[in-house]
Amino acid sequence: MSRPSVKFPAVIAGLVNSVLHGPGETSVLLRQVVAARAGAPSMPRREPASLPAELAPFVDRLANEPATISSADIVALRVAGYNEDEIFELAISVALGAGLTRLERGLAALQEDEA
Amino acid sequence: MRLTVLEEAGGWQVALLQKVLGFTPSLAAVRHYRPEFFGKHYAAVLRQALRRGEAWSRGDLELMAAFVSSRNQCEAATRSHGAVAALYLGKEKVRQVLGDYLTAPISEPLRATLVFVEKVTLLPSEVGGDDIQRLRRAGISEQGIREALLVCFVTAITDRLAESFGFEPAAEGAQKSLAFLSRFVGYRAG
Repeated sequence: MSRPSVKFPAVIAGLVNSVLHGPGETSVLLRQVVAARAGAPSMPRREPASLPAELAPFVDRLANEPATISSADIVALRVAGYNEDEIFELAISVALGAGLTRLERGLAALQEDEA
Repeated sequence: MRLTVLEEAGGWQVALLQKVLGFTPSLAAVRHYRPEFFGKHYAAVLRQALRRGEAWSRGDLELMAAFVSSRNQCEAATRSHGAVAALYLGKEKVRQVLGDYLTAPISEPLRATLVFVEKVTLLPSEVGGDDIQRLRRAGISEQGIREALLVCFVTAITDRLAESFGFEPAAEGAQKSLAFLSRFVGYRAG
C-alpha cells in the first residue's frame, strides 16, 4: 500500500514516532505490522505471515469490534507468552492504527473535495 | 484494570488525583505509565482535540467524543466525555443526543457533523468526497471538519484502550468531580 497522500496534524507525529518507530519491549516491526493490520495507512503492508497467528484475533477484534474485547483476550495473550509491557504496547499499536485509518480516510476525503 | 503494571502507575499527578478525587481515573493510570512511550504524546493530542476549537465549542467537541464512544459501545468513555459535555450543554441535551441524535434539539450543522463522525467511526473505508460535500452544504468549514476528525482519531484510540485494559466507569459522583476537573484544567491533570 502506498504511503498516504494526506498530511497528518503535527501533534500526531510525536505519538506515531514514539509508538511505531521508537524503542519498546516489542520490536518496531511487530508494532508496525499490528498497526497496519488495524488499518494504519502510513505503515507499509507486509505479508500476513508477519503477524504471529496468536495475535490475529485480538488485533482484528480490537481494531474492528472493540467492545467484544474481554479479560479473556488478555489472559490468552499472557498464555501465549506475552508479558504485560508487551500487551500494553500491542494494544496501543492496534488503537493507534485504528485511529490513523479513520483520520486518513477523512483527510483524504477532504482533499478529494478540494481537488 | 487488566494489567497490574497500570495499577502501579506512579508520579505526583496520579497521587494528586487519588487525593483530590478519591480514585485514580483509568485513563490517567494509562497516561502516566511509561509516559515517554505513549502517555505524554497521547496527552498532547488529547489536549489539542478537546480544547475549545476555532469552529466548535469545547462542549460540542466533548459531545462528539461521547458520541463516538457510544457508537463504539464503550460505556466508560461515553460516560466520561458525556459528563464533561453536560457541564457545557446540559445533561438532558447530552442524553437526547446519545439516545437519538437525529431528533435531538441540536443545530443542523452539529447534527450533520455527527452523521459524518458516525460514518468515520463505524465505516471508515466508505468515507469519501460526498460526505464532505454534505458537510459543506450544512455550513461546516474545513476547520470544523478537521476538528471533528481529530476527535474521531483520539477517541478511536481511547475507546480501544478502555476495552483492552478494562476501564471501569466511575460512579456518578466521582465522574462529576472528574468532569469539573477536566473543565477547569483541561486534560493536563487526568
